[in-house]
Amino acid sequence: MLDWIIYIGLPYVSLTLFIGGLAYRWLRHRFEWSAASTQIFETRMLGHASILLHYSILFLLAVHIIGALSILLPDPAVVKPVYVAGAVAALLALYGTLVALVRRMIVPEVRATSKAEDYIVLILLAVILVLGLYQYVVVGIGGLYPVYAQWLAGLVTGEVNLAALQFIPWWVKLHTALALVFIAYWPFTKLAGMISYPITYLTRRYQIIRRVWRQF
Amino acid sequence: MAKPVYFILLAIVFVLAASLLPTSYSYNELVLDKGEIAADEAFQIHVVGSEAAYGAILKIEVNCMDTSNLTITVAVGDRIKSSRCMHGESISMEIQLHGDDVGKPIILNIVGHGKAEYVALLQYRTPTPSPTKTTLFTIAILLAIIAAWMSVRRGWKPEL
Repeated sequence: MLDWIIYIGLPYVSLTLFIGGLAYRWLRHRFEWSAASTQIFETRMLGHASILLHYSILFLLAVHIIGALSILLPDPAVVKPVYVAGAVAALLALYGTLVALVRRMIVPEVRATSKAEDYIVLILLAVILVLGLYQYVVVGIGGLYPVYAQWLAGLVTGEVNLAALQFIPWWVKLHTALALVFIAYWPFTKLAGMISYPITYLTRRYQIIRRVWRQF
Repeated sequence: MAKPVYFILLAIVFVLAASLLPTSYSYNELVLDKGEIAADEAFQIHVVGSEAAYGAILKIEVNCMDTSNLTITVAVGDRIKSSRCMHGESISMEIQLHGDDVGKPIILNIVGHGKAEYVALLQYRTPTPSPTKTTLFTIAILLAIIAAWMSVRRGWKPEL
């Protein structure tokens, strides 16, 4: 039953909430669509930590995609150095997440503007990162990529083979479940801002900006 | 004076050391299927599960009954093993499975005349956390926490 929830129920629910949630927010609450940056309040702590967090997460996303696609290669083991780099990226992302979390708690201006979702996202991310790092570093879980690639293919075709997933260790299942919860929660947080890009700036009308150099 | 970057670099060293240490495994055996098959039969025994993700050996043991003369073939993906047995003989066939075999069916095919009993076994291994790797991992996480805390302390200038 738990396997069904994690590997069949949760992925479809997460995807529905991700797409539906973003569409709903865009249509009904467009003016709340923001990355809610707190950079204006404090930059000394945030600077390097924020860069490490964001770029490491993007790199980790690429590592997961490479891992899943490695089954198409004649020898999937050739991508192993990518997993090692992924472990380093996960550690840097964890460091960035922890700095962002502590900063949010101790800087009064940032704390005052923080919502519960800001803490939940960071805590969820830290737990997912620690579990993922544990899987790779301690248990050497890279061998599960082919299994997960087939699971993803099964989700697309609607034929998930649950029997093939029952031996997966519980911490891998927890990592997967939390990642899916993270995706489901995404549209209802500041993370929604991450998928927007100012493409319309290329075609919008000119803005007139007036600078006042000597006001006094 | 200690800087957060030193702690982060040290944490990276610990993570790399832990990930490069060999993984320890526990070995297990699973009976996939057993039963009786008659000549000119071909059927799917099982679908390879995630237990084979870290490598496994598929073992097919066949006992041919008296007066039998059979050719048994086992196939997983494009790997095929074939063997003949007759008159109460016992044969054993092995196929090495890898992570990319997960989800593939194991097909048993028998031609000739007579009957046979078979047992399909999977000898698989599961990675187990070693104390050394766990310790290195824990130290790396602690170093990352210390580095984060130091970064915050260095950057934080409370208002007077």
